[in-house]
Amino acid sequence: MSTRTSSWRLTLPKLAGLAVVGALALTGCAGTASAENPAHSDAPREARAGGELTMLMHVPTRSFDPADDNTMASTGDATRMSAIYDLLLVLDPVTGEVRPQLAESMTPNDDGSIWTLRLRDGVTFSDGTPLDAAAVQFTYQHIAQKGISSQTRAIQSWSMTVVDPLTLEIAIPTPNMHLDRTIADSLPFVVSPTAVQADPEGFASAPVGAGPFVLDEYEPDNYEVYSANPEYWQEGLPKLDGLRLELVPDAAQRINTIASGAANAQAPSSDADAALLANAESQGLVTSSVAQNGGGWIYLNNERPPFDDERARRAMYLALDRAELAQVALGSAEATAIDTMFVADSPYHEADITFPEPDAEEAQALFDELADEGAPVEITYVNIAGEVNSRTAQFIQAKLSEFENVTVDIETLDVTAAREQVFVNRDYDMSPYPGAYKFPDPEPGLYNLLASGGLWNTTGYANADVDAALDAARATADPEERRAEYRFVQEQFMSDLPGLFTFTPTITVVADPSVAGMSYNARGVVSWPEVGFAAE
Amino acid sequence: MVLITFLATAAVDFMPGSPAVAILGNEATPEQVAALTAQMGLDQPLHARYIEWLSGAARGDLGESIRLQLPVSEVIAQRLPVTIELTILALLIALVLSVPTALVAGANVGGWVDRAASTASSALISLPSFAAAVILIYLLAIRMKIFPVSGWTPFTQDPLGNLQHAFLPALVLGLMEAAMFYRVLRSDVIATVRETFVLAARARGMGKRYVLLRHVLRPSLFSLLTLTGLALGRLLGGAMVVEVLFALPGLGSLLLQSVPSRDIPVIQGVVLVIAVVYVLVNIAVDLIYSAVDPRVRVRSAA
Repeated sequence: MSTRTSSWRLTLPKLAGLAVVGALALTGCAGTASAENPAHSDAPREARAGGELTMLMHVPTRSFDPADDNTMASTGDATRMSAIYDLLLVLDPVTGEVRPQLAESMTPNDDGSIWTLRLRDGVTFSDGTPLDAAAVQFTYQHIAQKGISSQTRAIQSWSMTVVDPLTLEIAIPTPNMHLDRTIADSLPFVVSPTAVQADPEGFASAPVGAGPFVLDEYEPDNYEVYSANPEYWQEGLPKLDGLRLELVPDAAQRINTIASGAANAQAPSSDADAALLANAESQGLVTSSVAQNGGGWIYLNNERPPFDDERARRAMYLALDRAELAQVALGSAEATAIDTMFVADSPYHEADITFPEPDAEEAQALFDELADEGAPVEITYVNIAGEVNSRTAQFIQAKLSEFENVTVDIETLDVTAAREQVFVNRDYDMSPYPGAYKFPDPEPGLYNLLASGGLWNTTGYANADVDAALDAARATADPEERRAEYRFVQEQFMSDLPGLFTFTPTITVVADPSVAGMSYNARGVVSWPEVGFAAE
Repeated sequence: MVLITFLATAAVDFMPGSPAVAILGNEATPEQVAALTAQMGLDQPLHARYIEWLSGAARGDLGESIRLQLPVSEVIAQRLPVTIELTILALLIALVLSVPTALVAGANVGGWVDRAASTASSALISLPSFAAAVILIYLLAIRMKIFPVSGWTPFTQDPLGNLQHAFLPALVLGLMEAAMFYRVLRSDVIATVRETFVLAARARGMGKRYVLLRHVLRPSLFSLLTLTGLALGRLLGGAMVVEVLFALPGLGSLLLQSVPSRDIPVIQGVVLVIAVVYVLVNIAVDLIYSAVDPRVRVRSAA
């Protein structure tokens, strides 16, 4: 078992106790989640029973109803919901594998067109009703009906059948041997149908789940208080008696608050501002980062000039020293650029398929060539407000200004305005993905990024061969076949360069040294049952 | 107030990014966005929506928060006490620091109090509130651990804890105001001590401290009163940075959290409350004027 815990932030002695989860020994092959008792990656200190932990959240609570969540962000509602609902399946951030949690297993038929979700016996919601197949079906129908979740469109095409109280069959129109990863990544929360039906409007602020905690107090835009669920399905868990999630929007204040002893940790995030992490360490806090496949990602609009021309996209890679860009963006001399699409210990790592190296002369030649043809590279960079984004935008503008026949204007918008302009209307030339685009496994992250019509394919990239390879990889559980298909996808990516990958992404945890048993999924969403305080 | 709330609504309306996009997220299709916009009634013209809001507001109904799905009046009622407490505490701190210092400095121009306080006030005026906050947090919260770094405890729950949480942000706000109060009051005190009635009082052998408090302070307060009124309005509406920095659940942070989600009803409601308070404070300042200086009453009557 390997871990990809980055060395630049990892302070192993301190981390002996902060089990940044992850790596979990899985017995099943791809497409099967059937392992019990996950192992942790870094021989963790086991948390003792008892205590109340305070975690600081980055953004206000919007809703406790999973049907209202369109981001699944660890820093937002998903980590809150994880306390209330637990996770059906967990997509591991290190191995990219799926392990069961509330579910006992999720297995496909031979061609991946029908999936069987098997639930654990005896799991009940905190209102006493059973968490059964009908509840999972109800939850997904509820999500589809509300129409807000990113998976709405996918669910609408599913046909779900309750086979018996603990078994749900999901038939999907296009075979997929990796649907369990989508469930783990985007649909891990199950609501109590009884509670939703009793108060459809109020459920978003008075949720009922089968998770390790129940919500006792909710002060919007301020804090929530949770207590341990006495009916939780895992014996002896959760470790904590109670939990308080508190909103502190300012990043530096979160570190200060933990350092002052008023809180124990902040929600795991992809916000790896080096100065803040250094500040945390200097104040005696423990920081740890798990490197991921994917990275800082800048959309290039493949659907209109100049980036509808492959030469313009290639010129970006040639003109920009991405190592410098990574260092500037993250504020650290140790930050690294992505060389390959998958990190070294991924089964899909291909050392010989790398992004183009910077070459100013070749870049200038391409810019000149495009200008001579009457299509100079004149772009507006739609920046999303934020430190890392702004430093990235300024670096790109400054570097490109050194070339002839290139002009870059920066238009900075808040995230809502950028969403409308970039993601909904596709009215942009170049724009960053908010945060880092991570994919511990190519499913569903890489598929969504590159497949024609994929959820995150905002570049408008369309390559029939890539689509075919992604579909073929999706349709097989054979590791070798998958590797071959993803190798082809990587080759095509390096040829087409639909977008700009920049820095290596991480999920970062900041906590005081007493916190133990911390684990999270590939989105950084905390899995709460084992979290607690180390014995003195 | 009508104009201010209309302008606030129009400003939000012209911002790119609709509430529907904030709700639906990155994967929304233009069709989904249009459908939700229509469902929320946001496809109506600005004036029609504003008139509807205004008629609701006149009946005491400020609508429902798009983000929190709660009545706006309820949301504001929860947040207003925090901002009011912060404002009052900041004003008290500002007055306690500035009034005695300005009296002493104004009566002893060039003295060490005058020199020290004038230097400090110059530094504080040129220091942005976030910078002052960072310094005070480092010194008083992190190093000395006297005050909590962030968060809030309601007064009804724990009065002492409430004051502990409120003091540091109030100090950040109050120091800025104190610097301005000091400057204005000092210059008025300097002018007043030169008045003949003050010289006469001194000539009659009255003590310096007695004259300052009894004869100089009251006639020197007019500019300070105006400034205090303005400060109240400014603090109510402008404590955003401090509220966000200290994670205080006040009106300022509510406004900042509502803008990214384009929560128009909340923005309208908060702007209305701030405008109402501003107007009321100015009326109160005018009334206090006339109470402090009988000449104002005489001029009004004339």
